[in-house]
Amino acid sequence: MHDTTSAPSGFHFFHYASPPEFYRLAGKVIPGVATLAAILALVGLYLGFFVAPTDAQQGEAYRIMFVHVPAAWMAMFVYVVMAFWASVGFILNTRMSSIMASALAPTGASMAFLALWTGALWGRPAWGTYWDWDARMTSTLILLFLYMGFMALHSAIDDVRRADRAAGVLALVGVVNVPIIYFSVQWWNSLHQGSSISLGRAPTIAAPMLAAMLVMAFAFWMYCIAAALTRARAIVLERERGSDWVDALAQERAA
Amino acid sequence: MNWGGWREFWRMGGYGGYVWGAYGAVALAVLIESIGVRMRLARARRLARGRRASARGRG
Repeated sequence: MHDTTSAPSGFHFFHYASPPEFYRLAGKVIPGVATLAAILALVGLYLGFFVAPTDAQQGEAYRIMFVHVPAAWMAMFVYVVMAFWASVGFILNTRMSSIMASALAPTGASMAFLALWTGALWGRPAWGTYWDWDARMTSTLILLFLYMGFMALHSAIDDVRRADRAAGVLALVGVVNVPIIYFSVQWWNSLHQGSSISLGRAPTIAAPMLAAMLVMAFAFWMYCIAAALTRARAIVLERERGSDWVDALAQERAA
Repeated sequence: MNWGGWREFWRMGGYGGYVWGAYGAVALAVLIESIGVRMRLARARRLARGRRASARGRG
């Protein structure tokens, strides 16, 4: 992007908020983010399996933590980001915001499912049960249903702008569930353990375990960005089909 | 280094089913989604080109 004449000199957020600019910029960013995700995942797996020692109480089963915690964090974080973009799209009526919300939903749903699945496989050896209807697990299941409800509602309404608004309202209402998940282990008596790390308190797990978990969390984070941005690019093309810039892009690529 | 060999590594101290069941699901989900979003983008590009081609044909 050396063509400075086409870029407005003012506020750049709105410049990149235009679908053609987003499409171009995301195309440049995604390979780097995806590569970073892969490198972080390799480092995280190495730390998690070859550096972090066997847990004194749980043996090797605790290693599920290195994917369970990042998946659970991302399931909550992606939801908040999705609800944020949905609300921006609702208030400012910007096309890209609602596209971002739609692009994030399947990735968030995948993370919520993985948090539940890996949690069940960790719960069995740790607590003796795959599932319990306690606050943490139930609210995480509701999170998965909220993602699925968002996607189902959006695809059920033919008019895209109306679908954006309806699904956006659902996303916003559902955001109250996120603090419930997060604080559930403090508010209710739960089978689920408390947080291993939190702000203002020393972590309750050993340093190599913490390092493996944080590196994996960054890997998951970068993965979610790459996956959501790629999906957002596809949605941009799908929605803007027939516009001059998409036609110009298609001509460029066909040449 | 925690493992005496590959056998021991895959066994995960008797928790192999749980550990690999969890990591396998993550790998599968990442694989399916990565391929899925790329295919969706490729299809959107194809459709954009197809529209241009049909517009040219009519003109």
